[in-house]
This record gives sequence, structure tokens and C-alpha cells, in this order.
Amino acid sequence: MANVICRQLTKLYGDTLAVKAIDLEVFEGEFLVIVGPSGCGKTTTLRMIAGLESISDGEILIDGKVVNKVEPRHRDIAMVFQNYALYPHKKVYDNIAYPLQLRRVPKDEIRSRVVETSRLLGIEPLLERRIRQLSGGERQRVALGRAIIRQPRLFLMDEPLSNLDAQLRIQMRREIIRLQRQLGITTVYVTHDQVEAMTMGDRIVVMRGGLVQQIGEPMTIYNHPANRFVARFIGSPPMNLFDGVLENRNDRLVLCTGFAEYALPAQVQARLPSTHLAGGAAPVVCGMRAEDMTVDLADDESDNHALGVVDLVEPLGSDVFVSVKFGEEMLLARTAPDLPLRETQKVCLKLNLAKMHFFDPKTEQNLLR
Amino acid sequence: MNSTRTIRAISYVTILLPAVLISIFPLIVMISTSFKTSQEVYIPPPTFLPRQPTIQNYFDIWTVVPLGTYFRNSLVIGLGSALIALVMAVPAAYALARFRFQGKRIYMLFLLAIQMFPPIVIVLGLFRLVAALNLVDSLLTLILLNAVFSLSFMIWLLMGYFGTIPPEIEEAAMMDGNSRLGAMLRMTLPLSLPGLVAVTIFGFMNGWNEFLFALTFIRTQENLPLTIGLFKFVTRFQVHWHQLMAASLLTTVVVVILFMLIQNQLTRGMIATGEK
Ligand SMILES: Nc1ncnc2c1ncn2[C@@H]1O[C@H](COP(=O)(O)OP(=O)(O)OP(=O)(O)O)[C@@H](O)[C@H]1O
Ligand SMILES: [Mg+2]
Repeated sequence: MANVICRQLTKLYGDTLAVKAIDLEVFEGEFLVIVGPSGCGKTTTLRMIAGLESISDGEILIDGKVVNKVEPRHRDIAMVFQNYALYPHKKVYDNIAYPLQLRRVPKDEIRSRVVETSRLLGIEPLLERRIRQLSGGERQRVALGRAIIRQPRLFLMDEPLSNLDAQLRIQMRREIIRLQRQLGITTVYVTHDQVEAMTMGDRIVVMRGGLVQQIGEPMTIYNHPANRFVARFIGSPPMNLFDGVLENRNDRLVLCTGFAEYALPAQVQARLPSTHLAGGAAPVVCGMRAEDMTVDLADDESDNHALGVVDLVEPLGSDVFVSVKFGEEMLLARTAPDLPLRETQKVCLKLNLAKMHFFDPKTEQNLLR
Repeated sequence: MNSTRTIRAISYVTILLPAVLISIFPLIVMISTSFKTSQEVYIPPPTFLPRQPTIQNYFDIWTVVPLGTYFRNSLVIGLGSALIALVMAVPAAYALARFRFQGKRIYMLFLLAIQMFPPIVIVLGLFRLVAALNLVDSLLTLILLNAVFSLSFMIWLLMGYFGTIPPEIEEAAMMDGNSRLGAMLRMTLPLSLPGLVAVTIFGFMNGWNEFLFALTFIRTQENLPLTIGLFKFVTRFQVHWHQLMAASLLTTVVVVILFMLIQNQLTRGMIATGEK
């Protein structure tokens, strides 16, 4: 078990900045997920922690010691690669045993530990096989086995599930979490899949363009996204965003959107910066999650109700996603499956204003405290 | 479907067959002559197949000229140059396949360019160099020169081969406890064994077949390789065709067998390099 601290960690490839002075701490024993769109620097960050990539600037501390110049083999870190990177010329047994063989562990001990590890992963019958005789899921397990057998102080995983089919991915997701809880080894897990991030991470680091956007527990990030990018990136379907203007009418904030006007509840108003009360009218970007809106068949247009036209109904079984069109804007709401909805039908959309997010149109930062 | 394939096969055969016949005709003559007696070679009319086939030539050639010495010299030159070139080609090819560095493109072009050079152009300059180093009439000279001349092709081939091995395998080995060098020696090299064997055999054949340098730099009988030694069957008064052909056949057989062994590896390696 170890903790990792990245201070102002920077990576330059030629003159492109892949990672821009990020600060990051991985707590002892936690499962930290780094998530972000393609090319945002996740892999680069992970490889710098592993020691496979040189550090352009900043430093990495493992257990309080700067490891910038320490070779990978002396960092006591195990890594699982996206393409597994198993040794094709060795049998499954020797793939898993390899880290111990290099450390000159006695043969008997190696054997018992390989058997134990393979049992844990359910690959004991495969030990005598060659790598090319394994399926993708089995290879994944062998790669995990090779990583856990020597009980490193840190696990790094770079999109280890992305080559698996959807069902196997869900199954392996659970197994990796179970394994990590069982072994309690500090883990940094890289993925571009926000579902993986939400379901697996003790904490999540959201990255974009080489910068950290937000670090926090999954539900904190979901409920309080730091900015517009995080709001759209975390959560499925992505958060609805639409333009609005906050107007100060007798010290009460009113949100004017293209389709309705809403008087903000006092507790929401209190969480907005007071500068928005001072000025006359402030433009904002509003965010609303699909589950924070209710679709109503009654078409009485009153406060907090907006009348729109159903554009598309997507039933998922457990619930239904409804796209409702308000003139220019299109909002996606989640409803119960028993609502009889047809396309082109007029419906009424209630927004739960207490759950509404407000972003600065320029800085894109979340305005709520 | 089937008929177009038949037509294609027929047209290939009609075009290729004459070419094949023309190119293997000397080989057939060589084989047949090597089994003839000396009388039959000279008595007109010339025969195509030996009238009284004999394997006597294959015994005589070892005593008429010091063929064993020539064989040994060719082996030393072939093996020595191949191994020296291999030792130099592996790190060069590895660096080209794995690292980015300044002047890499120029270096690769340079390697290709030396390939184009006909050795005859520089043989004069080389002679002065070798003479100045007091290395005339030494097998070492041929070993080194042949190593140098095999090197660029070997580097190109190996570079392609190393390129096909995922760097992640080395990185995994480094995470598991190897140094960079250890990862290369324990992972990349064993995984490229077929490529290593192929380029070594290529280097061997290069040294084995080399003629010009041997002719230029070797003086004494005991240092002659086969390519030059075969001329000892050509005496002032007579060409001993039957023996010459037997010795030539033995010389060629070595190369043909080796080439058949590595043919697949060579084409695969070249394709891998070309795909980059
Ligand atoms: N060896 C390299 N040389 C030059 N640029 C590189 C190199 N490796 C990565 N980059 C660049 O650095 C940036 C970050 O790359 P990185 O591989 O870390 O992204 P990522 O977040 O892992 O993306 P993905 O989800 O696609 O794997 C990208 O813009 C990429 O083009
Ligand atoms: Mg990546």
C-alpha cells in the first residue's frame, strides 16, 4: 500500500503539452479513476507514475519519496496494459510467475503463489496453455494475475477492459473491484468510460486537454460538477444545457429561458454569487439532469411548467427517455415507463429548480456554492 | 470463376516457363557435367546427360586442389562477418525501431544509399586503406569488409522485425523487474529469433558468395575462399570442367539450402519494413 502525490506534473512531447502541471494525490488503499476524453493525457500521466515516461517538469512522490529518476523496476509498481502485453513466448504459468522468477523467489513458493493467484482469478485450468490459446477475457485475467502476484504497493491500469465485449466488461469490472477491495492495494485506473469511472472509483479525477477539471467522489462530481465540461462528461445521458438570463426583480432572482420564466427558490438564490443579485440581468448556462425533470400530460401552463412537443421517445425498459422540444431548445427527460407518450404530442415539463446547475457562460465554471 | 483461374494459370506458365528454363539451364549443365568423366567432357559431340555417370569427381576435387582449405576459409569469412554484423545490427535496428532521435531519417536514408554503392567503385580506395593497415592477405579483412557490406540490409530487416513486437511487452517486463536492457534481451530478442536467424544467414551468404574483395585482397593459397579457389580448376592448359562443376555444385548447394531456410523470414521482414 502506498500513497502517490503528483506536484505540478508536466509532460512535453516536442512542443505539445500532453500534461499541464497537474496536482494529484492518490490516498493509501484507494481506487482512483482517471477519466477523460481521448487524448486528454490520462495514459501519459499513468506512464509517468509507472516510470515508463520521463517527467518534463514537476515531481512524483511515492510514500513521500521523490521517484522522478527511479527506474520502473525499482518503484514496486505493477501495471495492466490495454493490450495486456503478455509474454507470447511463455506459458500462462510463466507469465504469472515471471515477476517472482525475476526476484529469485524459491520455486516451491512460486508454484504455490501462482496456484493461489490463478484460483483467485479462476484461471487455474489454463496454467499450461500458451497465450495465443486464450480468449480476450482469459488474457485479461492472466494480466491481472501477473500484476497481483507480487503484491506491489501500487497498481496501475490503463483501460484494461476496453478490448472486451460489453457483458464481459461488466463482469470484469466487478471482479477488479472485488479484487482491489480484497487486496487493499492502492490503484490508479485509467478509462475514457464515465460509467466505469462512476461505478469503480472511490474517487474520480476528470481530465481534459492535459488539465485536471475536478477531483472528488463519484456522487459529489455527479451532483456538483465543477464546470460545464464535467457536467456534460459525467452522467448518462449528458446533462441538458440551455441558455438563460438571471434577472433581479425586487431582490428575487428570476430565470428567463427561451421557453419559460422561473422564480428561483430562496435556497438556490442563496447559493449563487451575490454579484448576480447586484447587476440587472446576468446571462447564465443552465444545466438540468434528465432525472430532475418530470413530464406531465396535463397542459396547464403555470409556474415551473413549460409546454413543449415530444420529439422522440426512447424506451429502455426500466425507464423512458423523452426528448421534448421547446422552440429552439431540446431537453432530454427521464420518465417512468407507464406514461403513454407519443411523438408530436404536447406535454408539460416540470423542472426541479433545486437541482438546477448554473454555469458562467464565459469561464464555464459552476456558479453554485 | 474456375475458368478464369485456369486461363490465368496457363498464361503465367507460358510466360514464366521460358524464363525459368533459361535461368536454370546453366544449373542443369553444371549438375550433369559434374557427373561426367573427363573424356566425355572433351569428346565431341557434347552430351547433355552423362553417358556413364560417375561420382569420382566428387572425390577427386578434394585432392586436386586444397578444396577443404577453401571451404574452411569461406566458412570463417561467412560466419565471422555474419556474427560481427549481427552484433552491430541488433542495437542499431533496435534504436531505429524504438527511439526517436535527431537525424533518424537521414541515417536511414544513408543506410539505404550505401546499399546502392557498387563495391567496385571503392575497391581501389579500400585497397590503399587495407595496405596501410598492413591487412592485405588476411581473412580478417574479408570478415570486416563483408560485415560492413551486409550491415545496412541487416539493420533494415531487423528494424522491421523489432517494429512488429509491441513495446508494451518490454514495458511490462520492465515493470515486472527488468532493466531496459534486460527487457530487450529477455523479451524482444527471443521474440525476434526468426528474424535474427534470417539476417545472420543472409550475412553468411553474403560473405560466402563474395568475390571481388577476395580477389583483390587475398594472395596466398591458404587464405583463398571458395569463390576464388574454384579458379584453381582452370589451369594454364586445360579447364577441368567436370571437377570445376562438382566443386561449384557443392559451393552452391550450401547457399541454396540456407536460402530456402530463410526465404519466408526474409520476405516477411521486408514486408514489415515496407509497411512502416
Ligand atoms: N509519444 C508521443 N509523442 C508525441 N505526442 C504524444 C505521444 N504520446 C502521446 N502524445 C500526445 O499526448 C496527448 C495525450 O496522450 P495520452 O495518450 O496521454 O491520451 P489519453 O488520455 O490516454 O487518450 P486515449 O483515451 O485516447 O488513450 C495526446 O494529444 C497525444 O497526441
Ligand atoms: Mg490512453
